[in-house]
Amino acid sequence: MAEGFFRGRKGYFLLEVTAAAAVIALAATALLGALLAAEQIALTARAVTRGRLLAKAHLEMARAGKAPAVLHQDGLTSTLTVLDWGGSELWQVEVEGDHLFRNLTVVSGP
Amino acid sequence: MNRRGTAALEAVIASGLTLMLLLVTVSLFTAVHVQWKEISQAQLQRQWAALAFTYLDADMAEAQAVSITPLELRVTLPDGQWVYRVSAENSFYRGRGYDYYALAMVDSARWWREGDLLWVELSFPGGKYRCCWLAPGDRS
Repeated sequence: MAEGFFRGRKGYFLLEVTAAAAVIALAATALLGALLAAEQIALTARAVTRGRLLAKAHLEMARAGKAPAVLHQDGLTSTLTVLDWGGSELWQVEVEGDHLFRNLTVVSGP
Repeated sequence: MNRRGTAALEAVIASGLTLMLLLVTVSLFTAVHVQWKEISQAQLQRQWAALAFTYLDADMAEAQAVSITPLELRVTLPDGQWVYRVSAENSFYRGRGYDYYALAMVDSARWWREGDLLWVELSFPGGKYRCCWLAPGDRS
Protein backbone atom coordinates (compact mmCIF):
# COMPACT_ATOMS: atom_id res chain seq x y z
CA MET A 1 0.00 0.00 0.00
CA ALA A 2 2.86 2.34 0.91
CA GLU A 3 4.59 1.50 -2.34
CA GLY A 4 1.45 2.44 -4.17
CA PHE A 5 1.21 5.69 -2.26
CA PHE A 6 4.75 6.83 -3.07
CA ARG A 7 4.43 5.80 -6.67
CA GLY A 8 1.39 8.02 -7.11
CA ARG A 9 1.91 11.62 -8.21
CA LYS A 10 -0.01 12.93 -5.23
CA GLY A 11 2.32 10.99 -2.95
CA TYR A 12 5.45 12.50 -4.50
CA PHE A 13 3.99 15.98 -4.32
CA LEU A 14 3.03 15.54 -0.67
CA LEU A 15 6.45 14.13 0.16
CA GLU A 16 8.27 17.02 -1.51
CA VAL A 17 6.10 19.63 0.20
CA THR A 18 6.63 17.93 3.56
CA ALA A 19 10.41 17.75 3.01
CA ALA A 20 10.58 21.44 2.03
CA ALA A 21 8.44 22.45 4.99
CA ALA A 22 10.64 20.40 7.31
CA VAL A 23 13.83 22.04 5.98
CA ILE A 24 12.28 25.50 6.34
CA ALA A 25 11.05 24.74 9.86
CA LEU A 26 14.49 23.40 10.85
CA ALA A 27 16.30 26.44 9.43
CA ALA A 28 13.83 28.81 11.07
CA THR A 29 14.13 27.07 14.43
CA ALA A 30 17.93 27.10 14.32
CA LEU A 31 18.07 30.78 13.34
CA LEU A 32 15.45 31.78 15.89
CA GLY A 33 17.33 29.88 18.60
CA ALA A 34 20.62 31.57 17.71
CA LEU A 35 18.94 34.97 17.61
CA LEU A 36 17.20 34.53 20.95
CA ALA A 37 20.44 33.35 22.55
CA ALA A 38 22.35 36.35 21.14
CA GLU A 39 19.63 38.74 22.31
CA GLN A 40 19.62 37.22 25.78
CA ILE A 41 23.42 37.51 26.00
CA ALA A 42 23.23 41.16 24.87
CA LEU A 43 20.50 41.98 27.39
CA THR A 44 22.43 40.32 30.20
CA ALA A 45 25.66 42.07 29.23
CA ARG A 46 23.86 45.42 29.19
CA ALA A 47 22.23 44.71 32.55
CA VAL A 48 25.65 43.81 34.02
CA THR A 49 27.24 47.03 32.70
CA ARG A 50 24.33 49.15 33.93
CA GLY A 51 24.31 47.25 37.21
CA ARG A 52 28.02 47.92 37.78
CA LEU A 53 27.48 51.63 37.05
CA LEU A 54 24.46 51.71 39.38
CA ALA A 55 26.43 50.00 42.16
CA LYS A 56 29.29 52.44 41.68
CA ALA A 57 26.91 55.42 41.76
CA HIS A 58 25.19 54.08 44.88
CA LEU A 59 28.54 53.67 46.67
CA GLU A 60 29.58 57.19 45.65
CA MET A 61 26.29 58.48 47.07
CA ALA A 62 27.07 56.64 50.31
CA ARG A 63 30.50 58.32 50.37
CA ALA A 64 28.75 61.67 49.91
CA GLY A 65 26.43 60.79 52.82
CA LYS A 66 23.25 61.00 50.78
CA ALA A 67 22.53 57.48 49.65
CA PRO A 68 18.98 56.15 49.79
CA ALA A 69 18.69 52.58 51.07
CA VAL A 70 17.19 51.48 47.76
CA LEU A 71 17.94 52.99 44.37
CA HIS A 72 16.04 52.22 41.15
CA GLN A 73 17.37 52.83 37.65
CA ASP A 74 16.71 51.28 34.22
CA GLY A 75 14.80 48.32 35.63
CA LEU A 76 17.53 47.57 38.17
CA THR A 77 17.29 47.86 41.93
CA SER A 78 20.28 48.56 44.13
CA THR A 79 20.10 47.92 47.87
CA LEU A 80 22.63 49.43 50.26
CA THR A 81 23.57 47.65 53.48
CA VAL A 82 26.00 48.89 56.12
CA LEU A 83 28.30 46.12 57.35
CA ASP A 84 30.33 46.03 60.53
CA TRP A 85 33.81 44.68 59.69
CA GLY A 86 35.82 44.33 62.89
CA GLY A 87 34.74 47.69 64.22
CA SER A 88 34.99 49.55 60.93
CA GLU A 89 32.06 50.33 58.67
CA LEU A 90 31.73 48.92 55.17
CA TRP A 91 29.04 49.49 52.54
CA GLN A 92 27.61 46.65 50.56
CA VAL A 93 25.55 47.28 47.47
CA GLU A 94 23.52 44.50 45.90
CA VAL A 95 21.98 45.01 42.47
CA GLU A 96 19.17 42.88 41.11
CA GLY A 97 17.13 43.13 37.93
CA ASP A 98 15.23 41.32 35.21
CA HIS A 99 18.13 40.27 33.03
CA LEU A 100 20.61 39.58 35.80
CA PHE A 101 20.78 35.88 36.49
CA ARG A 102 22.66 36.49 39.72
CA ASN A 103 22.71 39.56 41.91
CA LEU A 104 25.76 41.81 41.63
CA THR A 105 27.39 42.54 44.96
CA VAL A 106 30.01 45.22 45.55
CA VAL A 107 31.57 46.09 48.89
CA SER A 108 33.46 49.30 49.58
CA GLY A 109 34.62 51.40 52.46
CA PRO A 110 34.35 55.09 53.30
CA MET B 1 -1.09 12.29 -18.52
CA ASN B 2 1.84 10.96 -20.57
CA ARG B 3 5.47 10.63 -19.46
CA ARG B 4 6.54 14.05 -20.76
CA GLY B 5 3.62 15.71 -19.05
CA THR B 6 4.50 14.05 -15.74
CA ALA B 7 8.16 15.08 -16.05
CA ALA B 8 7.17 18.66 -16.84
CA LEU B 9 4.76 18.78 -13.90
CA GLU B 10 7.42 17.42 -11.54
CA ALA B 11 9.94 19.96 -12.84
CA VAL B 12 7.46 22.77 -12.21
CA ILE B 13 6.73 21.47 -8.69
CA ALA B 14 10.44 21.11 -7.92
CA SER B 15 11.18 24.61 -9.21
CA GLY B 16 8.31 26.04 -7.22
CA LEU B 17 9.46 24.34 -4.06
CA THR B 18 13.06 25.45 -4.58
CA LEU B 19 11.89 29.02 -5.15
CA MET B 20 9.70 28.89 -2.05
CA LEU B 21 12.56 27.50 0.02
CA LEU B 22 14.88 30.19 -1.33
CA LEU B 23 12.38 32.97 -0.58
CA VAL B 24 11.74 31.78 2.94
CA THR B 25 15.46 31.33 3.61
CA VAL B 26 16.30 34.79 2.25
CA SER B 27 13.52 36.40 4.32
CA LEU B 28 14.73 34.55 7.40
CA PHE B 29 18.34 35.59 6.85
CA THR B 30 17.27 39.19 6.21
CA ALA B 31 15.23 39.28 9.41
CA VAL B 32 18.11 37.70 11.35
CA HIS B 33 20.63 40.08 9.78
CA VAL B 34 18.58 43.16 10.75
CA GLN B 35 18.07 41.89 14.29
CA TRP B 36 21.72 40.84 14.54
CA LYS B 37 22.83 44.29 13.44
CA GLU B 38 20.69 45.90 16.12
CA ILE B 39 22.12 43.58 18.77
CA SER B 40 25.69 44.26 17.58
CA GLN B 41 25.11 48.02 17.66
CA ALA B 42 23.73 47.82 21.20
CA GLN B 43 26.74 45.71 22.23
CA LEU B 44 29.15 48.17 20.64
CA GLN B 45 27.49 51.08 22.44
CA ARG B 46 27.66 49.16 25.71
CA GLN B 47 31.39 48.55 25.20
CA TRP B 48 31.98 52.21 24.36
CA ALA B 49 30.08 53.26 27.48
CA ALA B 50 32.06 50.81 29.63
CA LEU B 51 35.33 52.15 28.21
CA ALA B 52 34.35 55.79 28.69
CA PHE B 53 33.25 55.19 32.28
CA THR B 54 36.43 53.25 33.01
CA TYR B 55 38.51 56.28 31.94
CA LEU B 56 36.25 58.65 33.89
CA ASP B 57 36.46 56.39 36.94
CA ALA B 58 40.26 56.27 36.82
CA ASP B 59 40.49 60.06 36.37
CA MET B 60 37.98 60.81 39.13
CA ALA B 61 39.86 58.56 41.55
CA GLU B 62 42.93 60.82 41.25
CA ALA B 63 41.18 64.12 40.53
CA GLN B 64 42.38 67.15 42.45
CA ALA B 65 39.63 69.34 41.01
CA VAL B 66 36.78 68.93 38.57
CA SER B 67 35.06 71.74 36.75
CA ILE B 68 32.17 71.58 34.33
CA THR B 69 30.63 73.78 31.68
CA PRO B 70 27.81 72.76 29.34
CA LEU B 71 30.45 71.96 26.72
CA GLU B 72 33.21 70.27 28.67
CA LEU B 73 34.19 68.38 31.76
CA ARG B 74 37.65 69.35 32.99
CA VAL B 75 39.53 67.06 35.39
CA THR B 76 42.73 68.21 37.09
CA LEU B 77 45.10 65.35 37.78
CA PRO B 78 48.59 65.42 39.31
CA ASP B 79 50.07 65.26 35.78
CA GLY B 80 47.86 67.98 34.28
CA GLN B 81 44.37 68.67 33.05
CA TRP B 82 42.25 66.35 30.93
CA VAL B 83 39.15 67.52 29.15
CA TYR B 84 36.12 65.45 28.18
CA ARG B 85 34.10 66.84 25.30
CA VAL B 86 31.79 65.85 22.48
CA SER B 87 33.11 66.75 19.05
CA ALA B 88 31.05 68.06 16.15
CA GLU B 89 31.01 64.49 14.83
CA ASN B 90 29.42 63.29 18.12
CA SER B 91 32.60 61.64 19.31
CA PHE B 92 32.92 61.69 23.09
CA TYR B 93 36.62 62.07 23.71
CA ARG B 94 39.24 62.64 26.37
CA GLY B 95 41.86 65.14 25.35
CA ARG B 96 44.85 67.15 26.50
CA GLY B 97 46.77 69.43 24.17
CA TYR B 98 47.38 67.38 21.06
CA ASP B 99 46.46 64.09 22.77
CA TYR B 100 43.05 62.87 21.78
CA TYR B 101 41.38 59.62 22.83
CA ALA B 102 38.04 58.93 21.20
CA LEU B 103 35.95 56.93 23.66
CA ALA B 104 32.47 56.62 22.17
CA MET B 105 30.19 57.74 19.39
CA VAL B 106 27.27 59.23 21.30
CA ASP B 107 23.95 60.90 20.64
CA SER B 108 24.75 63.27 23.47
CA ALA B 109 26.74 63.50 26.69
CA ARG B 110 25.80 65.59 29.66
CA TRP B 111 27.16 66.22 33.11
CA TRP B 112 25.73 68.00 36.11
CA ARG B 113 26.30 68.40 39.81
CA GLU B 114 23.99 67.38 42.63
CA GLY B 115 25.72 68.65 45.74
CA ASP B 116 29.12 66.99 45.93
CA LEU B 117 28.17 64.42 43.33
CA LEU B 118 29.07 64.80 39.69
CA TRP B 119 26.78 62.88 37.34
CA VAL B 120 27.81 61.92 33.81
CA GLU B 121 25.31 60.51 31.34
CA LEU B 122 26.06 59.17 27.88
CA SER B 123 23.14 58.75 25.49
CA PHE B 124 23.25 56.28 22.62
CA PRO B 125 20.55 55.36 20.12
CA GLY B 126 20.08 52.13 22.09
CA GLY B 127 19.84 53.68 25.54
CA LYS B 128 21.54 55.69 28.24
CA TYR B 129 24.33 54.93 30.67
CA ARG B 130 25.03 57.07 33.71
CA CYS B 131 27.17 57.08 36.81
CA CYS B 132 28.23 59.55 39.48
CA TRP B 133 31.31 60.34 41.52
CA LEU B 134 32.05 62.25 44.65
CA ALA B 135 34.00 64.93 42.83
CA PRO B 136 36.21 67.48 44.51
CA GLY B 137 36.23 71.21 44.03
CA ASP B 138 35.50 73.91 41.57
CA ARG B 139 31.73 74.11 41.16
CA SER B 140 31.60 75.91 37.83
